This record gives sequence, C-alpha cells and structure tokens, in this order.
Amino acid sequence: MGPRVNPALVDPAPVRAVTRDLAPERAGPAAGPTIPGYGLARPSLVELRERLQRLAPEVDAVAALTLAGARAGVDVGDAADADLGIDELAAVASAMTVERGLLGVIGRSMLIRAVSYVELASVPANAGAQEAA
Amino acid sequence: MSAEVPGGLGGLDLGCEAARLQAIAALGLLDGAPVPEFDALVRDVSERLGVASAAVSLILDGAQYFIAMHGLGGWIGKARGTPREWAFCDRVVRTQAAFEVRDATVDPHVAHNPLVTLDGVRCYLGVPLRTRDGHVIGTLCGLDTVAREFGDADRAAIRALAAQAMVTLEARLSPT
Repeated sequence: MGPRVNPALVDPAPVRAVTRDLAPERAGPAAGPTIPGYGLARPSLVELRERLQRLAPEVDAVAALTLAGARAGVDVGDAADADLGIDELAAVASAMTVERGLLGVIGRSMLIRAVSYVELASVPANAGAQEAA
Repeated sequence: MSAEVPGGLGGLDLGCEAARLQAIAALGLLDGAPVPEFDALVRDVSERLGVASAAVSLILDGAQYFIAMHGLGGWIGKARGTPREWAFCDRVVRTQAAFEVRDATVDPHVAHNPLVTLDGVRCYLGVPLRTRDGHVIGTLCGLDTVAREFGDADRAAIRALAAQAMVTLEARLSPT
C-alpha cells in the first residue's frame, strides 16, 4: 500500500483537533522533542534568539524579544528560557510579524515553525500505521 | 560557537540571504493580512495547470510563507506554510531556477521529504518570483497528490502568471 495522503493537501477543512498547549510536560514522551517521521524539533525561544543574532546582528535580540513578549503578554525573561510553552513562543513570534525589516521575517518564520509543530504533534504517532492497516 | 540553528539556512551566504530577506520585508506582507489580488492568481494556476493546489510562497529564513494558497488545508493551511527544510520552493530560491517534479517518490531531490512520504505530494511545478534587484523572494507554484508530467503550455502559463504576480508585488514597493 502506498503512503497515506495527508488531508492537509487535499482538504481545505481542518481534520484533526488542535492541541493548543504542548509544553514539554504535556506533549509527553510519545511526542518527544521532535515530530516522529517529520523530524521537526520543537521550536524554542533560544532558537528564535539565535536566528535574530545570526541574521540581524545589529538588533539587540534580547530587547526585541522582550518587547515582542510584552506585546504578547509573555514574560520572556532573559530570552534564554528554552522551556517557554510553545503557545507562548507562537504568541511572541506573532507579535514580531508586525515589525518592519528582518524582525517581521524572522517572526513570521518562527510562527510557521511553531504552528507546524503544534499541528503535527496533535496527529497520533501511529495514525499512518492504522490507516495503512 | 552556538549550535547550528535548525532549519533552512545551511549552505547560504548569510549576507546575501539577509539582503534577500530584507527585500521580502520591504513588501510589508508578513503581518498575515489577506492579499486578495493573489487569491485569483492561485486559483488560476490551479485551473491552468490542472493541479489541486497552488500557492504564492515567500521563502523566509526558516519557513515558506504562503501569502496566497488554493487547495491547501490541514496543518499546512493552519500554518500558512511549512518549515523551510521541506519546501520544494526553497530549491527554486537556491538555484534561482524553476523546479519541476513529475513523480516525487522517485525524484532524488525530494523522495525522502516528509511532504512526500507522509503528506503525499507527488508532482510540483514552481517558478521564481524575482525582484528587479535580482532577489528571488519565493515562487509561484502548483502541486498535486498524483504524479503527472508538465508540458510546455503549463510552463509558459505559470511563468506568465509569475510575471503578473511580480508586477503586483513590485507595485507594493513603489506605489503610484
């Protein structure tokens, strides 16, 4: 039997419930740090900060994240907190998307990675096997 | 040294990439506001190519962002894009040339891509969206879950529509 076809590509309607809070303790060991099959690592505030530092070294990354966090109602601390909830990270990234320049680019980019992670993590790990059977 | 930031930037000159990303930023399209003029364009791509899905994709630092899409739902629709490392469109940006896949399961560039192995993408045709300054900011593309061959008429059609898209995009940079 061929690989399953994900409705993401053929059905405009959302087909699975979305897990809105996937902090590590709730994602559980089955989800792990990466999405099975996809290999997508859980995005983190540290990753966001490193993207800023790499692509926009002229920007004070910690200050930018602090401002975005304030807009989103999220305390980003010293921007080194790798355990920030994925929803909170998405909120910070979303707040960055209205910024001009590379901040907006990096914010949108991180928002897509965070939403992809949340959406894919909500798919049961053995769904493909069940459908194939 | 910090660890490699996951997803998307491998093998790129960061200076050039930052300039390309600045060109994207200048369009002012990143806040998620709808761009209605592109909705008709992606429907047109879908109809003319006879594919189920089409998109205007901007390649960002770590993701592709669909500023318009047709026939894409589920997690891709929710995210309005995908991580960059899975984006067929990223190959268009890196090579600055069109990319065409007839059967993704046997194409060495994408056969192991999860969009193929898990999401069922089989065919793809994407052409560059290039600014006057020469930056390839993304693609206009069509794709489907069935393998198929594209012909000269398909290639001509999508190139013409991409040129139309760039007129619209460049107008955002120099409004009259």
